[in-house]
Amino acid sequence: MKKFIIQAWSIYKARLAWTNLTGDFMIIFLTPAIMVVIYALLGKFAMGTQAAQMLALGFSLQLMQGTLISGLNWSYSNEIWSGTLSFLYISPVNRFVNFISRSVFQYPVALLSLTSSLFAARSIVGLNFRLVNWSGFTTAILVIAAAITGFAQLLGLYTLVFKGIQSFVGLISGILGLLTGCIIPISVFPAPIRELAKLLPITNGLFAVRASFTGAPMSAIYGYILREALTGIVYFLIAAFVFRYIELWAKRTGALSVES
Amino acid sequence: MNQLRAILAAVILQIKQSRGRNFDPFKYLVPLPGAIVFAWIARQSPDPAVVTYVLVGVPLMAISSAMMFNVGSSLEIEIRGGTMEFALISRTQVLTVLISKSIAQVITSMATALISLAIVFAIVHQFLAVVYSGLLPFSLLLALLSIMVTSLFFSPYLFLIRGGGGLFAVYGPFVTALSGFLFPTATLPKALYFIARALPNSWAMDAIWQSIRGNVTEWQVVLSWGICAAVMLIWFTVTYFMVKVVEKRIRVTGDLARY
Repeated sequence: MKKFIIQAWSIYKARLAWTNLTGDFMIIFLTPAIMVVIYALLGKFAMGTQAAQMLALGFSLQLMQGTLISGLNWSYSNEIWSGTLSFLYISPVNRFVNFISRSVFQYPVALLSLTSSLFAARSIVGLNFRLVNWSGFTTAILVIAAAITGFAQLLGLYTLVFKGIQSFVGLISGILGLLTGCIIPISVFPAPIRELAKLLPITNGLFAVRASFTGAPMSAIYGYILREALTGIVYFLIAAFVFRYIELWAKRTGALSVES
Repeated sequence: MNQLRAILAAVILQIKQSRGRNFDPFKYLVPLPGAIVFAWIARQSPDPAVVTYVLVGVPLMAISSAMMFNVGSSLEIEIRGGTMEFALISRTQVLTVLISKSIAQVITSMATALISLAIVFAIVHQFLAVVYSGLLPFSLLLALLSIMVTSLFFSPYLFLIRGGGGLFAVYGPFVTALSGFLFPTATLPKALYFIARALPNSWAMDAIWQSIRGNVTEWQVVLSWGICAAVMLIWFTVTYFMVKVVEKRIRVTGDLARY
């Protein structure tokens, strides 16, 4: 257990290579809050306060997704850019444990970011928490964060293969925010895109979040939560398999360095 | 003539740096999902002035974000890349190099800005609804200049506070929020509104909103231009002295190394 924690903390600490603790604190708490302010005020300007509240709620989830995707992406890209991937592959460490340890700190950090952005939304557009079914809301949030983690693990692994093309991850993160209904309701999309959206993390959980936010009971939302959980598990298992496969591929081709 | 040559060299260098070591085809597409979202939100408004404001604001925001990051962090990059020594021993002023880099950044950001504009335009299906159409182009030009001046300020500032990249994740969005690229600054809460008034961007965006909406006289738009120019001058003067402090500090301490 101690080794697991050391591993998880080391991976998280590597993200501080380009920032420091103060900067990291600000990235976790201030950046999401400011971003929500921008979207909430745009929503208020264009759609009115009521619509801006729902928009701020959805965008807070999109920001949480961004935190997880960028954090896990760093955990993989740091291995490449710092040249530590080869050390990982020659060590006897359990690969699955190493794989899991990448998200141990990123998961609570994403939840903290979400909390911060929800507070900002409350103070800027008066996001009203009075009707919230807290057990349903909290469960849905925790499950969504876990599902995004599974997806982010898979997306992060992309960095190990296509080393120089970092923007792809940012693009996919943006597309995910676009298609999952965080801001634009998925009902406006054509049927094939709607079906595709349901295979992505957040989409199903977001129904549960929105419903529980207006007081819907657990019995009305558990189906969405289960589907979200299932989505996350599938992505997580695929990512775990790809993680192992990439190691075999890298050893076979010698593709461990940035230039390879 | 030598200054012009130096400016041209710095512009080319910055364009190469922005392009990066590897060709990244997705780089220009990253802001597109955001542009689609902004356009969709704007389209929900029945007011053509609101739609026009967002149409104009999205590309400006794309340019500002790129400039805040690339120009703002350029001195830090010089130090990390070990090229600060050459900048200091050359006869070209560091400020000239920084200004050239910001010009280059405007050029490189233009592609993304134009793609964003095309996306927003395609979604909102609306031509610009502007009351003072003769005043809008100058307001836009002023907005571009104020974006340049603001991003220039952060270059020596971040260097002096040894901020590095971490704090940039906060300054960038903060300046974006206060600039009012997507909503008039009057929409901001009171406390933030007063801070925003210290930014030249917010006055330039005010002039854009006034030109679009036409809810004030033409002279009031001109007044916004004047205040914007005055605030820009203050920011530029402060930047100039900060660059001098950076130069002096480096020359006195001899601290040119990354660590």
